[in-house]
Amino acid sequence: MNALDFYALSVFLIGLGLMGVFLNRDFVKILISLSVLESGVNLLIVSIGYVRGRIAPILFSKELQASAVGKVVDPVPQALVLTAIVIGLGLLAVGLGMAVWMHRRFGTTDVSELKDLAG
Amino acid sequence: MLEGINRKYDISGIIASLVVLAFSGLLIYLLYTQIPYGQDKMLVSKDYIKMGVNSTGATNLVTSVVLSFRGLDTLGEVTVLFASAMAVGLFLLPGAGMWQREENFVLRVASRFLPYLIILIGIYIVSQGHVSPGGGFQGGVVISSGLLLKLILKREKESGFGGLVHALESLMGAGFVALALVGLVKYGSFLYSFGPKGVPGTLLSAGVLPVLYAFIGVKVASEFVAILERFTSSGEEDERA
Repeated sequence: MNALDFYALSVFLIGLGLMGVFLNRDFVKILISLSVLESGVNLLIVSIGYVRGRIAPILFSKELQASAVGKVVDPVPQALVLTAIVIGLGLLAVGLGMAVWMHRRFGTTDVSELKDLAG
Repeated sequence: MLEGINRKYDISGIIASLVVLAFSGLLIYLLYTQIPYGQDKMLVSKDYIKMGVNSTGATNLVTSVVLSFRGLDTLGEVTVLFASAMAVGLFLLPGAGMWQREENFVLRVASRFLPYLIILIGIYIVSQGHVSPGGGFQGGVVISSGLLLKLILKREKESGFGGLVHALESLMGAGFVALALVGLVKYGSFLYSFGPKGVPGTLLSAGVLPVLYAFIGVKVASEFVAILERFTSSGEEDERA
């Protein structure tokens, strides 16, 4: 792929998610936007660790193990993104639980209608 | 009043668009000037790549980073997952079944054998984590998706997995910490990768890492089943309002 593609795509996803978070009034839609935002950030972190022309950091053969430096991409961003995905899933679960509770308590998931919470 | 809200919404929309555009532009500018794409920027990773296979025995370097070099982060991550499962439990108290799905033919026939196939694939993914792409988190999610099929078919209002899930969740977390402490006591560093290394690339290799990933797999699966169960069998409206 072109050099521009992954950075530009991840920034596009981040911008899209931010717009969704700012403009939506529905709590479920805000959560979906947060997920899009999170995908963008994850893609950005992985693409920062990418090195052109190198393979995934899995050293399946003896020759590769002997001379791995310079042949594989950075494993640390991938490990961190693995962490971030799970954290994002926990966030989504808590948010959806909150949405169910909100709908049960107030009959709506529109955050602009929740006047009772003010003050 | 409605007009006022609409006008306010429009203005806030314009402001939000401008803020997001400015932020994206700044991000693009910084990325392309500060972090050149596709070039070697590794510092500490070089050492991980160089000594990863020798010191942990895992051919999958991401696994050796997740479980050994940065294992403490993974412990924190598992803690966050546990906390989020508890938070979902706070919002959705167990009660009368709210979301029951009527059995139809496809679901009934599929649920006879599909969950077991899905769980088998999940176990395979967990067990290959130190050799090839895979691992406890990914496989745990797959296992829990197999059990979800059982959950949405549940006809009676009994709590299907209830106690077992919570026991597994706690046991696996304790097992992870116990193995990490063995490393600290016997070899002098928390989450030290001890145990027979074997031949890298085979199933029985990498010492303690497959065991740790198996713990994580079961923990993630039980965590998710607990969350899904709370969503499918939480209380009715009148009890909270």
